[in-house]
Amino acid sequence: MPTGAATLPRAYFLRLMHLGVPVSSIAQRAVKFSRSKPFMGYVFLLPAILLALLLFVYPIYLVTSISLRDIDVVSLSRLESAPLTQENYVQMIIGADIGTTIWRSVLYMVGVSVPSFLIGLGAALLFNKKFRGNRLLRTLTLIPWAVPGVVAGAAFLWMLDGSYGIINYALASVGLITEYVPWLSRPETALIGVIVPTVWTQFPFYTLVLLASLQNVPVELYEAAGMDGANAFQRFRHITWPAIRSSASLALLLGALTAFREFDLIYSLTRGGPIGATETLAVRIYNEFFVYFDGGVAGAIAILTMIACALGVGVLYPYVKKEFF
Amino acid sequence: MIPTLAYPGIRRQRRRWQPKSIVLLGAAIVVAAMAIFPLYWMFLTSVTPMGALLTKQPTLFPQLELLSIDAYVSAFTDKDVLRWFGNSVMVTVGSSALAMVVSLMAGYSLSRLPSRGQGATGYALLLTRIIPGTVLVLPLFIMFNSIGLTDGLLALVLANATIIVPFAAWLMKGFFDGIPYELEEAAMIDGCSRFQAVCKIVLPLTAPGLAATALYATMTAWGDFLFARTLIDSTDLWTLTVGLSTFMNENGTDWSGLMAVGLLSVLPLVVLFFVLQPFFVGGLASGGVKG
Repeated sequence: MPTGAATLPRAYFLRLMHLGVPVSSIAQRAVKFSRSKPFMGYVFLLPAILLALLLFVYPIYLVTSISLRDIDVVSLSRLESAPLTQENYVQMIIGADIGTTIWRSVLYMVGVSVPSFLIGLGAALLFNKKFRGNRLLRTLTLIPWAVPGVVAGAAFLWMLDGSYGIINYALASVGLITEYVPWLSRPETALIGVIVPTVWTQFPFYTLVLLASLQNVPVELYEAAGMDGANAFQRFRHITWPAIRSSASLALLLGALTAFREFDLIYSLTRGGPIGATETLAVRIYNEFFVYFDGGVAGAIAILTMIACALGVGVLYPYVKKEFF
Repeated sequence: MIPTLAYPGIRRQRRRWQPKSIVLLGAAIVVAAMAIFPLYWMFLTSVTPMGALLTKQPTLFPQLELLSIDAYVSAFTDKDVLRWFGNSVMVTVGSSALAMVVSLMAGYSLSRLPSRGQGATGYALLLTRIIPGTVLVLPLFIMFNSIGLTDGLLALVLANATIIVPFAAWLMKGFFDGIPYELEEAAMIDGCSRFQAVCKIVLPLTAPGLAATALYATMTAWGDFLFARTLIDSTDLWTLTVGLSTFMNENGTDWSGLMAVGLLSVLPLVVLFFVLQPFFVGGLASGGVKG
């Protein structure tokens, strides 16, 4: 990639450089204008808006432009002069088997979110009870959430190993499998092989959020229900669940979206392989661009992904807004 | 129940070792053990020599006679772990600090702003949060390339900050919402400027929220692999996550080495997590997520 060809406006760079600097001066100016409340509010928003414009809105424009042009990856610096085309989108739809990738993404998202949620909910209900050692054990349980995707990938690459992996050993000793399964190198099992580690890193998120909302449920309700003879399931069904339902759905939404954009873990485990069996949309975009050097199709898939995100959030947002704002 | 109610002291003592509480403790130990097992297994692997690892009969406990720290020694001598560590620290501190300042201001203004603009901003924040990093890394790679920012830590700082700010601002807004505006007004009537009011009254009250947001920022930046892998070429500038991935190669992975470096890279986060985690549960309960 020729770095010298600075076709992008230098002004962007300069503004970028300035971005970190004037924060304090913006804050000072903000104080001056503090009498007019709304204005000050917007001044405080300024750094975030600048950051968003430079490192978010402009990049999105750039991807859109790439997806609409006939250009190969090495000459991307001359993007603006390349001819416009719809070829990339046609290519994506007829040549790239995009339906399978979308289906795989959905499968991965659901396959990760549902077990993570159930495990997370179970752990939250458990740690909401009072017993000795609760605090320490709770912290230990939440730790996987802090583990970076690549580290989790490393751990499970070894644990899922087809010849010496502890998971194969454990499954074989309890008789669930008769011979060792090379989880990550067989197309039929690879998706399970990436889902399990993702569940491990994600379930603590649900525990954390649900625990926070469980702590707001008044104890008196349970005492009253106990006097009325409600059993554990009835108490959960009629007291706990209504109380945590809204934050549970919100957590599920955020968690599912996190799974949807997951890259680090999948990439470090399988790089999307074998033969594309674990290639979700997020991984696909990367591979198209950085492995197959097909900038146009990568851009087209990126745009498709983004439209899917925008629609998904658009449909769910009114509900989220009710919970959050 | 009646006699125990009559002697509250005895009741408290008894309650601790009721059978029910022992069952709960047992269940919690099982859950925590399963959650922590992969890290334990990493540790065990890192202190076991390669020859002993490749066995069909793995043992769950360390074999004391085989114990060795060779993997750690060679991580520091053969590989540039210290340098990667330094780079990771620089990127994490830089992007977290930048993101914290920006999202603090944004969160404050979102919280105090008239609610008209909030709907759209909330939608934008959520959208930026969910768009896959790979969508963003593509144009960032091109942009940074054309202005000569690639292959520098500044590129990583900026890219990570972009990813952190939306959610961090969202969290901060929730925390500020929990603090009555009247407190600031009172301080300003007493002679504080608004800036002073925010610094002296509001920020100390949001300390748990700040801690929670800082933890989120640190975790995100420290764990980043996509940007570091894409925007950095020189081995001198690799972060820990990229360095770690060099241990996973086709011609025989050095499992002990991989696990040693993996554990070293996760250790600072785990320590930080232990310290800040109480704030996180409290912080989420107080404002971040209504329930």
